[in-house]
Amino acid sequence: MARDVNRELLELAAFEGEELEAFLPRWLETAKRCKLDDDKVAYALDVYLPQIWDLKYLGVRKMIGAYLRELADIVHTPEMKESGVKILYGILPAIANYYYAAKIAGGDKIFIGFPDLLMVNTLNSFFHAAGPFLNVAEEYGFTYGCRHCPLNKMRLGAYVTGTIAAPDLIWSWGFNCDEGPKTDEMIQGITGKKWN
Amino acid sequence: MKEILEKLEKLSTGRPLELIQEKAAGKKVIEYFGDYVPEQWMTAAGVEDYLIMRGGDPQPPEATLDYMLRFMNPLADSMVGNYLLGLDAVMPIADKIVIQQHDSHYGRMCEVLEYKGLPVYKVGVPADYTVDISREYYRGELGDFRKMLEELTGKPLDEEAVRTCYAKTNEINYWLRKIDELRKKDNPPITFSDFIRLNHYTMRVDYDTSIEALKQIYAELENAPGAHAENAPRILIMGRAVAQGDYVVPSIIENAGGAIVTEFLDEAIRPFKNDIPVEGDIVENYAKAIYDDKVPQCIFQPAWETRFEHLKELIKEYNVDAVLWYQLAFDEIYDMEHTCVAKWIKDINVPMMKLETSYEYSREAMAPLTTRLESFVDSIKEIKEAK
Repeated sequence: MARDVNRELLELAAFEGEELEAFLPRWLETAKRCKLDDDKVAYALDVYLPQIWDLKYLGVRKMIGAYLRELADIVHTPEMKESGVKILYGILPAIANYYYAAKIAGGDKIFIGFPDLLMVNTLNSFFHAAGPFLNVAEEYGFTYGCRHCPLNKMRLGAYVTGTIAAPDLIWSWGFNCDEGPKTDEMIQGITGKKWN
Repeated sequence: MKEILEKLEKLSTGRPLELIQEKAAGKKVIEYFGDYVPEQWMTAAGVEDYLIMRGGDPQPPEATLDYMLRFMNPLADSMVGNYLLGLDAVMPIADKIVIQQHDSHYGRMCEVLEYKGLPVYKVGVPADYTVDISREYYRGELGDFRKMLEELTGKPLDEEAVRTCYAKTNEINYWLRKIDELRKKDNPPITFSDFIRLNHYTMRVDYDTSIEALKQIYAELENAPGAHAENAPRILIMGRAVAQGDYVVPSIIENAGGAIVTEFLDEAIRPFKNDIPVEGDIVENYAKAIYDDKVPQCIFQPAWETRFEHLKELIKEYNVDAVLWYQLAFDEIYDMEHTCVAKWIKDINVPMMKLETSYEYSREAMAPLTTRLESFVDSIKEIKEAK
């Protein structure tokens, strides 16, 4: 019988019972959008996750589960946007209380996320698989030689591949770096004004 | 013109020694960086000022590696590296080192100077220059800078003296514009190498010497023959800066038969197209002319669309055949702007070449660099001839 690696992954991430069954289809779509094929998931299960994370702890496994959920949300922003949910993104470092305030005010009518952080963290920390998105960003002009930030590259790579929706608002901060806020101007320059 | 340039070069080279002597005689000395620090105020306050703008040498950036990551642009690196190597004679004696904070590269390098115990003073320059809060903030920073100057000199800033200095720098701007206008001729009578040197000298020598020299140079150039070959490809150079001492690339282009007829540079060049009104509030006049109304620097935001419109105007005004994108290594924001400009410029069918420099002009590096630039010039010649 063929191995059901995605089910195994969710079990490892402390999903169980109805919760697992309910999340599995959404996760399968998420994996597809993130270019995580069965081989990559199997590699994560058998090699990468046990090597990098101390999986005997339930807390660690639940944390992985929480990130998988966040990743699933982020890559479903195109559908959210289509159904009228407002999309608010942020970048790090950021001051969190403004986002909490927006969430309290907007409730289910607003989705708030940090797409590049979630995608780089989840894909690289658990699957070692952010590379394809970063390669796309390089093809679009985030040159390799200049040592650009992978978070910013991910934002561009995820958007131009249609993996994430354009935000209704992106709240970019420039505490330590200039590149974060300027990335939004670059995405606009390359792809047009839909990226706000 | 050669004699005048040689005289200015001599004065410019002798400026650090002059400052050491002035300091010994009891004068205050400020070394500073950036257009957003009003040089006129320092001069009006009786302070001897010295602009940080040296580059083009690979050793100073190397010297910073004990303190800083290598991924900083070499011009910002040079600011610290020249100090570490003892090549900047002014920094050790300066009463203040005033550095505008508009960009992470300079921000980080300032921290190295602070770590070395130097008296750094920062002038904050917000990137989102179109919004009121930023404009107020910058004006507030100028107010604080004024207080610092007054404390340093022990006397209030003489506003009439500031106005006189504004008038003087406006006059320098006027003569630079007159000379610049000559570059629109079919065969400009001045090369970029000389024009940028001239700019650098005006930021080293005193106002009256600059004005006199510029007047004489204009008189000489007004009806002078062209300094380039007939029908030379007309090139615009764009980037952060062609620093004082970083003259290799322009020289190669000129030797290959190209004419750099205009520039779009953010630093190490006098903002000669932006006069500061003399009458009225001195803070407001400076902030409006240099921060609010000037073509935004690459780091500002939003900037790139406005800058591209300005680039198109320059291309038209100076009848430019091609653009040389002159980028400092690891200068990530310019690299990103280049991506957008490279996309947009295709629509107006103007060729552009990107050249990155880490100030590495060794014998081994020179051959491929020269070949590349010569090929660029040759290809533009061919395109021009085919038209």
